[in-house]
Amino acid sequence: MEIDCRDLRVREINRMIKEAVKDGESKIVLKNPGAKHYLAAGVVGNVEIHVEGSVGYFAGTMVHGVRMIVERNAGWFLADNMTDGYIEVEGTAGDGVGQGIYGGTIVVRGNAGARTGEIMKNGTIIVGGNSDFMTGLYMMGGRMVVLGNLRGMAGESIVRGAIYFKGDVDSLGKNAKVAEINEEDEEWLKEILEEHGFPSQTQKFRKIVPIKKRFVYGSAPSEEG
Amino acid sequence: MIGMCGIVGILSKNRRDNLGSLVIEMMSRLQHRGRDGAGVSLYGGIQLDDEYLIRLEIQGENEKRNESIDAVEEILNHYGGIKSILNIVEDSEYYITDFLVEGVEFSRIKKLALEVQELENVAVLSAGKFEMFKDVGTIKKVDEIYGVSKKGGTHAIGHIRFSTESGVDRYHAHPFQSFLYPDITVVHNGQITNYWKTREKLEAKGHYFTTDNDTECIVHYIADKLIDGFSLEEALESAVKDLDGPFAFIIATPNEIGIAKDKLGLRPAMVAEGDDLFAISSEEVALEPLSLETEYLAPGDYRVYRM
Repeated sequence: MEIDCRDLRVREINRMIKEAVKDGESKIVLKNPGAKHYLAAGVVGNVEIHVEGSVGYFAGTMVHGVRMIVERNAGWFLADNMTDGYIEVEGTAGDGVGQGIYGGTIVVRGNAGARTGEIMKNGTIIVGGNSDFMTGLYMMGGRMVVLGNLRGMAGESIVRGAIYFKGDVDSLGKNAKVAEINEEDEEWLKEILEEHGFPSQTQKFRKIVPIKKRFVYGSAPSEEG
Repeated sequence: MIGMCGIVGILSKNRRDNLGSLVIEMMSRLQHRGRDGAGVSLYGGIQLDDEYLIRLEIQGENEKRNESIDAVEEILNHYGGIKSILNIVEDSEYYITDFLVEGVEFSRIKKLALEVQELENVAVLSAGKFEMFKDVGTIKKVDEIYGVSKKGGTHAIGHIRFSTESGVDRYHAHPFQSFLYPDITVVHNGQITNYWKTREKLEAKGHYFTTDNDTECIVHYIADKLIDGFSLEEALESAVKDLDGPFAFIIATPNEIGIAKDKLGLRPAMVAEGDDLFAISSEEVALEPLSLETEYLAPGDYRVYRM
C-alpha cells in the first residue's frame, strides 16, 4: 500500500496507516513525507512502514511492533516512548533520539543530535556516526552503541544501562565513568552490529556506565560494586 | 521541550527574482511553531545608492496623523532631504509609511531614528538599504499586507513568533535591527536569560533599545562586536560564550547570514548548502522545497554564509 503524503495532513496520514494496519496490511510506503511531524505516531501492529524521504519531529512516537525505515533524515525525538519495534534512519537524526523508550531497536546510520537516549528505560539504540552533547542523559536502562565520537557530558546522570562507544568522548557527565568492555559485552556487540550491517570489529569499544546504580531521588545511592 | 518560534535564513550568491516567495514558502512550513507574529528582513530587493529607506508606523486618525507626518518631515529634512513618501499600509488607526531620504551619512542614522522614535504616535520599524516586513499574526497575513512573495533579492531571514517574553504587537515581532551597524537584523528562537546584564553593558556603550524583548539584545551585541572589528564568525563565537539561555538565532548583514546555537543545544537549527544557495531553518520541513543536502547544527556551533 502507498500513501502520498504531499497534500495530506498528518492526522489524516496516521489515520490511513492505522486503518490499513487494522485491515491486515503488512507494508505501507509513505511517499513525499516532506519532513512532516508525528508520522506513524501511536501505530501498533506488525507492519513495515517505509518512508521515502525525511521525517520531522516525533516520528514513530509510541509505536509498538512496527518496523519503520526512513530513507533520509529524522527530526527531534525519533521513536519517543516506543515500547517495541524497529526504527532505522539512513541519514542523520536530530536531538532526543529514542527519548524514554521502553523497548525495541533504533538504528541511525549517520550522526545523532544531542541527548540521544535521554531517560531511555530499555531497548537498544545504535548510532553509526557521532552522538552529540549529553548522550544518555538520565539513562535508566537499555543499551546504546555509538560507532563514532561522543560529545560533552556523555552519560550525564546515568542511572542504569550502558553506552558503548568506539571513538573519543569529549567529557563525562555526573555519575558517569568509562569502563572496559568484558567478554559478554564483546559478544553482544559483535552480534548486534552484524545483525544491523555494521562492521563487527569490537576491540576498540569502551563503555560508559553509572558510578552509582539504583539511584532513587531522596535516598542515598548504593555503590555499583 | 522543543521550544517554539521558527527561524529561517536563505542566501543566494546571485540575485533571485523569487527569493521572496522562497522565504515565504519556508516560513509557511514553520507556521505550526507560532501564530503571534511573523517577519522578514529582505536584502538586495531594493537598489539604493545615496538613499535610506525609513519605514515608520504612524498612529492616529487623519488630523493627528498629518501632524505626526509634518513632525517626521521636519526631522528628516533637517538630516537630509526627503526623496519620496509612500504609504504601504493605510489603516483607519495607523499608516505604515516609507520615507526615502537622501544626503544622510550612516553615522547619523541612529540619531535620526531616535529623534523620530521620540515623536508621539510614531515608531521606527526599520531604517536602511533593505526592507523589513513584520506584523502580528501569520506569515500569510504578513505576505498579504506587504507582498513579500512578489519581491526578489539576494538574502533574507524570517521569523514565526510564539510569544513567551514580551508583548504581542508589531514592535515586538522579529526581526530586530541595530542602527549602529549598517542593515544588521536578527531573528531568534529561545530566551536570553542574562538579558538585563547584557543590555546594561550595551546601553553603556551607546546601543539604544526600542523594546524590552530579549532578542533585541542579540542584534546590539553582534553589532557591537562588528563595530569593534570582529568578523561575523568571531562575533557569533563570542555570542555563544557570552549569552546564556536556550537559543538559536540568525543574523543578517548586507552581504551575509549567520546562525548560532546555544551551548546546550536546546533549540533546533539545521543548515542546507548548495553551490550557490544556502539556507537555515529550525526544522527540515522548511528546507524541503530547496532540495539541498541538510545538516543539523551541533550545540554551541555557528555558521556563516557570505555572498
